[in-house]
Amino acid sequence: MAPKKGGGSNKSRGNATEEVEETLQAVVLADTFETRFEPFTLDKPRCLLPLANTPLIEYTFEFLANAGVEEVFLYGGAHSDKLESYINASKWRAPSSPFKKFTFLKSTSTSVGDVMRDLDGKHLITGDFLVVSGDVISNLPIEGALAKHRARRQADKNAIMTMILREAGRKHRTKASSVSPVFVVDPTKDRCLHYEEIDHHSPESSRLNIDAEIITTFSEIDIRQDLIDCNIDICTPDVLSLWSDSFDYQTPRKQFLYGVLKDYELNGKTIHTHIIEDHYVARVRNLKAYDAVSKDVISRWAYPLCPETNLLPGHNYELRKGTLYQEQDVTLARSCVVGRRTVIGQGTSIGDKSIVKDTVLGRNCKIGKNVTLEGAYIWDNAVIGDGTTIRHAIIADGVVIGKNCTVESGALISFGVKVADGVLVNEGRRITNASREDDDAPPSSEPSIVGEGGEGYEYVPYDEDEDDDETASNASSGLIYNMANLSLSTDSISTLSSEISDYGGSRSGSFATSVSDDEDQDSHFVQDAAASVFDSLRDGVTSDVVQLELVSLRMTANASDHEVRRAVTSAFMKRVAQLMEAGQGARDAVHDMFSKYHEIIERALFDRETGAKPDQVDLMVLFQQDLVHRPRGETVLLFLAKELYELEVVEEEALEQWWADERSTATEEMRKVRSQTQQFIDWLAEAEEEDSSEEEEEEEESDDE
Amino acid sequence: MVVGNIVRRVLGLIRDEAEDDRDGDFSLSDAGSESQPQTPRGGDDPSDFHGSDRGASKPISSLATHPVSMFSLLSHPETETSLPGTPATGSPSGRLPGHTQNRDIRAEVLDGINEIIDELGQVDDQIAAYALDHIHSNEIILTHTSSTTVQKFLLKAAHKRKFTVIHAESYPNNHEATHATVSGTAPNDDEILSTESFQKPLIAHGITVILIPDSAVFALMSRVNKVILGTHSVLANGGLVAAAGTRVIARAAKVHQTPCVVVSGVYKLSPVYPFDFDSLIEYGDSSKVIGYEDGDLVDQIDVQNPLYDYVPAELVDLYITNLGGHAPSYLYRIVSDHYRKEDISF
Repeated sequence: MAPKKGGGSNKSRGNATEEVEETLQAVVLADTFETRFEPFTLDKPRCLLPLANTPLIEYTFEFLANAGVEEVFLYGGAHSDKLESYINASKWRAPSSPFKKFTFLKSTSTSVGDVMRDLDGKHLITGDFLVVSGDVISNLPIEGALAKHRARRQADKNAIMTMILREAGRKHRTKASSVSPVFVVDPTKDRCLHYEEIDHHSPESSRLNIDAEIITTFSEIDIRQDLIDCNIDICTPDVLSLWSDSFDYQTPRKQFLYGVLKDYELNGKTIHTHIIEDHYVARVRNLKAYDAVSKDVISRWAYPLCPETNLLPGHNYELRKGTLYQEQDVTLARSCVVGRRTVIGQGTSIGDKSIVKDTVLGRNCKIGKNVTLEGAYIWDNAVIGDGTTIRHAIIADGVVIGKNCTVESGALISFGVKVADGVLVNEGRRITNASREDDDAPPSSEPSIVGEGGEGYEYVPYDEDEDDDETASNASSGLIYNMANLSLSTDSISTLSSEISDYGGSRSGSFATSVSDDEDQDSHFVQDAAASVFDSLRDGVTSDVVQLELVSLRMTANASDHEVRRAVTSAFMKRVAQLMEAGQGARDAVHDMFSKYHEIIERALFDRETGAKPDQVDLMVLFQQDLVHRPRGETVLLFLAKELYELEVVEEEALEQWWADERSTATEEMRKVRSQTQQFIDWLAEAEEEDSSEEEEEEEESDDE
Repeated sequence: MVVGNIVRRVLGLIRDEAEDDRDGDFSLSDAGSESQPQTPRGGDDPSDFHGSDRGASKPISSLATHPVSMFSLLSHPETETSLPGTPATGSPSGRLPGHTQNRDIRAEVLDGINEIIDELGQVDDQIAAYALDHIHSNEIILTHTSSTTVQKFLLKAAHKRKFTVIHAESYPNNHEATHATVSGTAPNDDEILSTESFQKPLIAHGITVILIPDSAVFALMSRVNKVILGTHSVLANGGLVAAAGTRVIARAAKVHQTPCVVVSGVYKLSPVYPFDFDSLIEYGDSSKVIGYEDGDLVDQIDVQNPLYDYVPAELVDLYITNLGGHAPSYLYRIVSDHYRKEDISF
């Protein structure tokens, strides 16, 4: 049908480049445009944060190298200069690198969507490619998924994307816990039918809105919530054009995936899933995941990606008994106790009677005497004073913590902070020493937080807009959870669901709602779309372009077909009126407009094959309604009806139905407007017998009026 | 480890040649460290391993590139053709005054390397040649893992004699391959496919093969006449680093006074002395023991999956290598024959 034609032209464009089997390309999103790792990301790009003393991005590259990727496009976001200099010095830029081509792209993007659209604009992608974020840790050989993806695409060009998901029981530490993705999958074809994110913290959104059509069309569906979504996607270049078509999509899952699946009827694209039951796949999406993935790596679930694999040149970790990884030149006091699941970097010393377990210690750390470290992540060059206790906290590079301090669970102490002696760092507190982007000097230290003589201040998210994000990230950033003091806004989800019900309602075709009702809930969409279409008509843009614009607007607003028609009709009539004002005859104006742009209207009609023509009738009613307010509306309506009939946009039955429809005679004005069209309808009714010359005379007469 | 052994042998070879010609003083000490034989890198990471080696080979003098190219030769047979090219790429270092002499050494070293390659290719068959001396009719033989050396050994004997094989499945790291060997379905691993797919399994020769879980080894040991084990590597003192579960078998064999025979190519013989055998044991993927999807267990339980066992020398009665049978106490002789003292510790 009409909407699919639009998709078709897109496809054929994509296919031309696809046919050639190309080297596997990968797009690495170094920045995920989230604030979940603040305050650490104020100083350092997120993908350079160390996990078990190896920067996150190393794991990702290792995965890509294993997957046989030859060309890598790395998109830097915040701190991209730091990232670039790191990458340039790394082994991946060396001649021995497994990547034949390594491109570092700086961009000013503020979302994943921007990156994808930028990528589309640059025409760098030649074939199927992988999209991963710069924090994926996986030992998965991707061949299987890739082969399946290619086979699917051979069979059906519309299979544009394959997501790799890891099965992981009901409860799992590595799963994102604040928001859990729900996938509705057709298990026979691995096709993803619906996607939604459920927020656990708000009772009102713990519901899933599945289109009834999905349930009725597919004999078998799986609704799964037990999957780790690690954002490894195998995409075809079509994905990029889809991103470009819908310029408002920001996030790859919540908006893009959701949108594409929802608009399946419109674009005909299918997205598939590849659910794996073995191998390790995880993404460090927040600090909780950081904790979980660190544990996984240390307890060798991600084998062979373990500390002693020594991904970085210069590392020389060795595995000792009890999952203790230790580099050379570690100084351990005789009486210190180093427990299980611990990683200790080079040059670190631990003093007498200190107890260390479940902890990652970076290089050149100085741990004093009688220190207790439990579940702590301490990065390079940190100094921990005597008698201090640290539990489940992250201590970044170069932090100095004084004597007899207590750092409670969930505390995050960022780069270069100095905490004085005897300070209690409360649960979940974030301390940083970095300057805010807008002001140059770092704010003065807060002695109440870091003690007298300490350096650093409490980090609080500073933008009102980001409030939602921040609460969410607060919730998920903690190494521990505090469900009680969460007040999450769930705007987006609830509005989505209401829009869905709207959509379903209008699609079911209950047009009994009177026109005036519609007037009340006049959405922005109608105005926007009408203005946009009108502009395009005035500028003489081709109908393809107009259509494209309309589709994207429509997707944005999740508008119904009725609204689309309304927008189109008002735009057309406005233009016709304008032409007439410019001196053109009503007949010519109508003829010009519709011969050129009738496709747009056709695409808003879906009832060509059926007996009843609600869409076409609706269209005519809308035209009629619009012309009530226009000068010489009667004449225009007559020519319009004739033109549409001749172009076969509106069929004879539809015109008859429209004529009989009570809406078209609802008010006095409506009846007046349609009065002139009476003769056309009569002519139709009497069919071929009517003398055409007579009619022409009529038309000329009316033109002269 | 085996890689380390080969690197050592090639280094030794080069040293021999060099000393023959002149008292050349090669600073080869850095050559070995690049290949990192002791590092338990994952076997499924060849691209990285290979890549880092090639990169590392650049700064070393021309002769020292041999061990490295040797290594890439082993892991990537398709690069074989590039071997003659490699010496040319290395610039002749100033340490060797005579250029022609240098080339001479090169040719000889290449010959030596080719000999080693040949040896590696034939090793299993050479070992299998001793099979008839050790396996007698109607014996019950217990073995472990899917080692090709062991399989060939048993197959050779199976041509002439009838005996029974009890095969421990070595769950969880090798059981799939073991099942495949036992049932004769070709494993889908490409490397093995070439040799294995032409082999008929033991069952095809009319041999009774009994597959048992590792835990049943002790119970069945009293009925076994001989234990034949494959290994990962053999250490200088006669100890073994072999697939996990081997030590249990060897220990059970000792208790029941069952002879325990280890078949291994000489190339697996390492001059390393196990002062700290804990560090020789590699720990593998925990998810093979417990599925990763079981969130509660993953969170609360420490899972360890050792890939290898250390088997002390006193549990082994006989080694069969491609050079013949040796007592464990005699291995140090073979070690000193094959490796040079300078290369033992990189």
